[in-house]
Amino acid sequence: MKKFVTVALCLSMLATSLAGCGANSSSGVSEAGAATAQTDGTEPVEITYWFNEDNEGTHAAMLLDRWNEYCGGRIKLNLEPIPASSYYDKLITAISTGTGPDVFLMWPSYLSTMVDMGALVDLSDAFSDWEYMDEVSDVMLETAHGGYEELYSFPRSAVVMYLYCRSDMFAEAGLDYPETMDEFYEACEKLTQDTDGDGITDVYGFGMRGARNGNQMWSSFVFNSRPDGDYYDDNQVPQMLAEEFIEANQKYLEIYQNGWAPPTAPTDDFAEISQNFKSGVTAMLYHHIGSSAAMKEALGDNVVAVPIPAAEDGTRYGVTEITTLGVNAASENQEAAIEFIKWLSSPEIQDVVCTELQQVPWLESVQSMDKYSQDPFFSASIESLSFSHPVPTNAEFTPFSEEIWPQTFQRALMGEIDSQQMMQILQDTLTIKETNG
Amino acid sequence: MTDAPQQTHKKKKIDWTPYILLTPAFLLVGCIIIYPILNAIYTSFFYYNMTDYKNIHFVGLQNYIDVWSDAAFLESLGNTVKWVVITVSFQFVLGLGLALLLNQPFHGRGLIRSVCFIPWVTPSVVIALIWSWIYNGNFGILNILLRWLGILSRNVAWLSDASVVLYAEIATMVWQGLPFFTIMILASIQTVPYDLYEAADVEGAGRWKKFQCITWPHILPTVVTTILLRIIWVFNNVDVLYLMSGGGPGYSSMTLSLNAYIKAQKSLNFGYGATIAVYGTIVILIFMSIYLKAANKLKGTES
Repeated sequence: MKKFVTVALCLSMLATSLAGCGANSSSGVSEAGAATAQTDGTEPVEITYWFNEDNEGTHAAMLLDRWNEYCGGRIKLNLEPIPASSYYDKLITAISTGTGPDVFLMWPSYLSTMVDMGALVDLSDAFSDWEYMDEVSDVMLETAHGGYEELYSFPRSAVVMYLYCRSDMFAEAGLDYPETMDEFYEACEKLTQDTDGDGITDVYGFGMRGARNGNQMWSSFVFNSRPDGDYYDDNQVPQMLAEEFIEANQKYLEIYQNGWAPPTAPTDDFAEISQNFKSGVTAMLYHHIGSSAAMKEALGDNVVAVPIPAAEDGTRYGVTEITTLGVNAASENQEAAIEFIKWLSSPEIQDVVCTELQQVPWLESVQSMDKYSQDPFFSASIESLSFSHPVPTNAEFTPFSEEIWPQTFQRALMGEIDSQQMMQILQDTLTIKETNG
Repeated sequence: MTDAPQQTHKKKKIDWTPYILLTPAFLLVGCIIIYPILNAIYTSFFYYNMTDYKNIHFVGLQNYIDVWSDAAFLESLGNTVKWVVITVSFQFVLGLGLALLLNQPFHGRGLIRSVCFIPWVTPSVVIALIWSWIYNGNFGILNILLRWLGILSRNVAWLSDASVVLYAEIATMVWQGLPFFTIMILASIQTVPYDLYEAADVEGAGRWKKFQCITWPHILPTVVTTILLRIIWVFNNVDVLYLMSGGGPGYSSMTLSLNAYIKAQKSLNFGYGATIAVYGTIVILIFMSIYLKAANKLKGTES
């Protein structure tokens, strides 16, 4: 009996290792569960909005007050912040099980999966006569379309990657801010210093990010080696095996291998590279305007923002992170959800969102406001927008950015594989499967 | 003579009360344990990728074959063995030592006992974050301490160096799980009848002999169960590994459970993730059967 109880106990605990990997057998999208429908016209319609918690904790309450002021209680808004680290999987799972929100924040990379799932409402008609449509930036609208004729998502906000430089360290080393890749590598080398003469490096030239999402900075320093450099060519074939990319990738790996980036670089995430820059461990950081307030607070006038360096032929490859909004096709309150998106996109609210969240405005009337055009960090962003690219939106890109790129890049940094082998793995991962719809 | 058939008839009568009372529990177990297990096994035979939603289809044993050419899976197999064996061994040895120490009467023993259990009641996420900063290669207190003591001449990137990352995480896990062993063994030690020690004293037995002949046989069943539980818990751990290094750099701290989690929950490839989880279950069953056989043999010898 004792033996039976022991075995039963063990089996029940083993179940936990398996239980997390079972997929929900529901293959379609059913009705939304979060919102309750308006029934008699007197009760307010209720909509639920999911967003990424980390960047918008304080912003949410302010948004709610303004929304209530705007609609006077006609539409009740439930704000549901979701932890950033699990936002994607929670959203996909909720939608596939019919418990998703009415309206939600999303990234362009979600688009194809969501369209495949039939999870999104086509917003084309709803926005065709929107009064501010002419002011919407082309790159934002193009990204929101994501290659589809239909408009399945609408722009919410954008950030554009640029280079933060420690002006005090550049001045001390007698260097100008890098405009070309050669100048960038020279700066990486010269800014790496043993400041106290104990034989150990104290300051590193560049804060390299080897953890997930590090592929954004990597792409800016590799894809500019070709004028048409990008993840895919016009025929949607990955370009990772281009000789220029393999060579540029090797140079990028050497930043770490030469000791110009901290030894922690392989697993450094945003928290680490940001802390390293603010505390003077690194002299250059690749990020966007979202961190400018924290940088100014920590470093005052000792920090500047410059566009990503260009290759010899002047090619630059910037990255823009655009967030969009989607309406759940299973929502019972789609009209209310669309009204919420229109309100959120209006110039007045866009200004509030961009100021609060440190995002780049995308309506011309907002962009031209002095508070944006006169700010050096906003101007670096707006300047970089012209050569910036959104990340791909296909199904292959999720495992690429979440799993394969960090693992493969880390192996290459440690010398387990060379640049050619790394790019071969990335090429295989990004190759679009024939079975994809 | 006439009473005998009546008694037999009485014995055959089934009392349904326990079954009725247990039904809700069985139903609950069926819903939250049996169904997910069967669903995971079923999913493992499919190409079931949420990022490729339209193409979910049956692939038979293909996932089971594919993992053997997956470098991450192969490395995670070896890492899992190291992760479980080293972690549980250190937790047991140190936990036993601490339990014996805390069983001795000394001033402030209650306070020390309470403090020792803090790691066990601290959430894993908090532990992972605390230790990530302790290990930080640029500002971490561990490097500062070791350099101040003259043990290191330069900082070590504990979580970014493939040769040390797994051991650094094992140390964290040992720290976290140590109190569990301590509390279980301590409770068991306190049930040993004191007159046995008195009798041993009369016989002139030393400390080691008393431990070997009295304490150890008494605590052995508890030790066996505790090790078994810890093997399963440590094997299934994902949070500490994921938060501290994400299984990297490369695959150097990737275990089977973490690999299954990343495949299923991050890359949303549920079919492949479920396959790794099924393999993981087979590995842990092998672990357990070897361990239980050895433990039963040891129990037989001790008795």
